[in-house]
Amino acid sequence: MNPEILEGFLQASLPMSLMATAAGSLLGLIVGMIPGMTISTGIIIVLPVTFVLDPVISVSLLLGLYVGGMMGGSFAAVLLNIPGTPSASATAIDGYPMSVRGEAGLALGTAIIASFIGGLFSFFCLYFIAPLLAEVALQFRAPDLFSLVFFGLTIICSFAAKSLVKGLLSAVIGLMLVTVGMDPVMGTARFTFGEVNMMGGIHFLTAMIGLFAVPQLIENLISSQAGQSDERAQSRIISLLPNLKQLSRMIKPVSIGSITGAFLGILPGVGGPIAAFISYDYTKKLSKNQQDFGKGCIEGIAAPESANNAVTGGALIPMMTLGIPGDPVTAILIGALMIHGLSPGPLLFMERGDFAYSVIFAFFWANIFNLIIALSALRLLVKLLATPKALLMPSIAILCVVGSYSLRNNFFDVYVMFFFGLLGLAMRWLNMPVVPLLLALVLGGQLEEHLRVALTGSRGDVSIFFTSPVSLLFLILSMVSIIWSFYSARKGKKDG
Amino acid sequence: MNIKNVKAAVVLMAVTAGYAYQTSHLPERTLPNTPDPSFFPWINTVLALVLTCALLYQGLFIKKNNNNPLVKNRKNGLALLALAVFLVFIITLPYLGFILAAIPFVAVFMWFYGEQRKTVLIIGALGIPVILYVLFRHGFGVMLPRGLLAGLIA
Repeated sequence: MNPEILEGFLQASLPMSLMATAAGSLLGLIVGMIPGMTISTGIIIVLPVTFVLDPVISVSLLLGLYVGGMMGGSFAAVLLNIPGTPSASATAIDGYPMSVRGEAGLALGTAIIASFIGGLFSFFCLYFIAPLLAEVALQFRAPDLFSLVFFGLTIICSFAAKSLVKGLLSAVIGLMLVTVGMDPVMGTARFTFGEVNMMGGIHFLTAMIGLFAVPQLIENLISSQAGQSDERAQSRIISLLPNLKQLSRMIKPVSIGSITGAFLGILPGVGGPIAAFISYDYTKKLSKNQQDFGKGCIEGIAAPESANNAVTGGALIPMMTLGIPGDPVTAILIGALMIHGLSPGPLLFMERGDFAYSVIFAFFWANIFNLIIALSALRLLVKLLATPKALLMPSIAILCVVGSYSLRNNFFDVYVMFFFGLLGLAMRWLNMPVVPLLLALVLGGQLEEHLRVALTGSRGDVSIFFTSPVSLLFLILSMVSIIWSFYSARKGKKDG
Repeated sequence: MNIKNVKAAVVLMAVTAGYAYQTSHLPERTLPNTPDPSFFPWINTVLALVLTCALLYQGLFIKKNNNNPLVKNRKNGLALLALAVFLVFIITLPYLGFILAAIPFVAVFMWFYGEQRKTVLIIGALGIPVILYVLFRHGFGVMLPRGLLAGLIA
């Protein structure tokens, strides 16, 4: 066996790493199941902690939270008909009717098992595909890397935006913000206005905290004032585990969901909700009992749940091998790794193979702990749906401040966080998606660096991007992605 | 006409103009065949200009279709007040210290979120800042400011 694989496994299996994974899973299940909380919020809560922890322990904690959050979202979807996370939207279609029928336990048990199998399937995809893809990506030169990052950016914008103009504008704002600070090639100060704190640029995590948490605090405040009180779980949870007959009914939907989720997860920008709905749709079309869908059948829960959890491992593949985040959570993971001086990408496997494999095995443990915690503590967890927002929200607000301050022990970052909070609110007011901005902040620096290095190498000749086959391939894919999003937007408008 | 999009486009155009002005003042580098530090910002400027023009066009000529809950809701005054309280909190934080600044902030936020019981308000407003301070300062080594309590607490 490759010694790096063994070393990675051992690091991910150390008691502290396992404890962090378990804690992350528990927290993920909690934040995932509370409506109004997202996985990103959960990550904001633990972010200050990860700065002081060992990188492997930090990643274990964050991956536990990522996987747990995906599963937790289905609990609220089944019990309250309010998806805890967008990825659990499809689960509510059949989960809630089962809950109303008094089969909440069976619905949740199905969701837990399907999520576990989907997550485990994506672990194997991650384990086998990621190192191979990293090896291929190592051959990429500056023009190829530029086109790859550009592809990542276009596909993300097109999928993130309901309005293409606003989605692209959001990304461009991110690209403008990324130019603040030292120029990555020559070290020239740009747009700093003589402010020393701005020389290092805008920290991506500070921006992320502001963009996600502040608007969420305000939206929750508005909804609580508008009298939208928290509903309580009505159903009693009796039996949790499906019997053999019910398990056999899950085989086909789980297979469809796992394959669809892992594949779509690899594509940057697709994410859990799309994977969940596509797998639900396919399962329904291939089922002999199509009439049962929507009325509360376990196939309708198994397919989307396995899909959204399979997305997690799939999304880690481009993150680990190419440094391209598949969704906001993997973007945050990249930021968290950068804090520790680790840059996800093909070089990670070459220079820190042990760490790369420890991430993969931490993901494996996250799925295992998720299953154990969800099955053993479900009844207790469900009670947390009643956590009062009056205690939760001020704590989150303070954690936003602590998280941004602790990055560099600097109040300037707190003010930047608040500025991004206002920006996030303005963008929501305009129905402008924040995800492209966030991802532009992650990818913008690389985009500029590879572009300028490639042009320097070619003495300013732009044909270098079209003569390299890899670069050309990514540019064609970028064009396809942009045209496809135009087509989808027009089709969506025609369909009403 | 969608007034919101028009307003946004005008603001973004002004920002783009400011960005372009700053870009034009970036120092030039004389290395042969090497893109200047202003190279990428100029690309951003062009993209931003094109897209804000597209947004302006949408705002002027495409029918309004607004289903944004943030806009529809009448409780936006409270949201602004909450933001003001948040701003006061982060401004006073370096001077008052974490605990003293956070106590009134938590109390006001709890009240905003509908907590009316005085006992719960007092316990929450005192408990949350103290617990978080101890956890982060002593548990995780984050140097949260002590402010006016510098001589009194560890």
